[in-house]
Amino acid sequence: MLTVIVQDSKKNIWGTQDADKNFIGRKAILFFDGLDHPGDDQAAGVGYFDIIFLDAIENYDDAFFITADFNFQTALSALLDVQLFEKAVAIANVLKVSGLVDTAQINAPFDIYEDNKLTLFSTGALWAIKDLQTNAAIAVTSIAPNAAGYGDLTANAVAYAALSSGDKIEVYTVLPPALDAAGVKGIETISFIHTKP
Amino acid sequence: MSIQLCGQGGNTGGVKCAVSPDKLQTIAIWGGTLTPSEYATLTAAKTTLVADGKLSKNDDSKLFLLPLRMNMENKKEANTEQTFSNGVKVVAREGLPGYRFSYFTSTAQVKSCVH
Repeated sequence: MLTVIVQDSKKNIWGTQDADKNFIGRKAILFFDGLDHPGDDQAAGVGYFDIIFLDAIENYDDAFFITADFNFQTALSALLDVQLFEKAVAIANVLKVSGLVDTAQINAPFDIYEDNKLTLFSTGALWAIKDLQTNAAIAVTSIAPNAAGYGDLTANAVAYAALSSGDKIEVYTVLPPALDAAGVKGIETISFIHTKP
Repeated sequence: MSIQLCGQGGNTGGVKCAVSPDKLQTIAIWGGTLTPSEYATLTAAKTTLVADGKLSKNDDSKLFLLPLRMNMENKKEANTEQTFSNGVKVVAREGLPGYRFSYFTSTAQVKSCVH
């Protein structure tokens, strides 16, 4: 079960209210159909989903709206998941990192490096590393674009050298709001685990 | 005897120019709230909703924007009826509201939505 709000063609946003008169979503369940091959009289790329509002009272008697001067589709964001990964073998404490957006084409994900090499792959403050043996943070010294098509992420040399062979570290970025503020729009990243050789 | 004892309904007058829900354009899954001070102004409400759209998917207040709908089909559940001994039918429970939407999409997006 989820809570949802809807925007109508007058731009009003419909939901309900809680006991403190906060505006909240209505309880609903959604079901998404998978895509089939279209018939001869159909266009491709049309999907379907069903929504059932679970509380008729909430939906009718307790329906409330707020006015809005913006369009959901224009103003709000739907993020893409980006799987971070090591694009090439690390050289000592320098990890070769990029990110992939999955696609339906087999073994052909979209690499985000080119679109973000001047932001995400140039700003060390957007990255973090955690030692999975101790959960201690390992400082990121820097990240810089590499002409080979990935970012050179440099971990603190002393901390990396202190790791034993086989030790694992988790590499991740800051959360989407901080990425957005730094000009990295529309993505949320998923960390990867690096094992020290 | 006061008819107020029969229920909690009020007078049946309509407010001039009162708003009804219009055609549904977009649905967003949203676990957040807008406080009275936030929905008091257009700017504050927009700021909160836009910020919630940029949250991590693991955040309780995350707003997931669903694709713009194209066609909409009413799929409201039938009311549950009861029958008196003389055959008169009455509504015992109102059916749940439901809709079926179509939207332009791709296989990759459908995979994301399904999961």
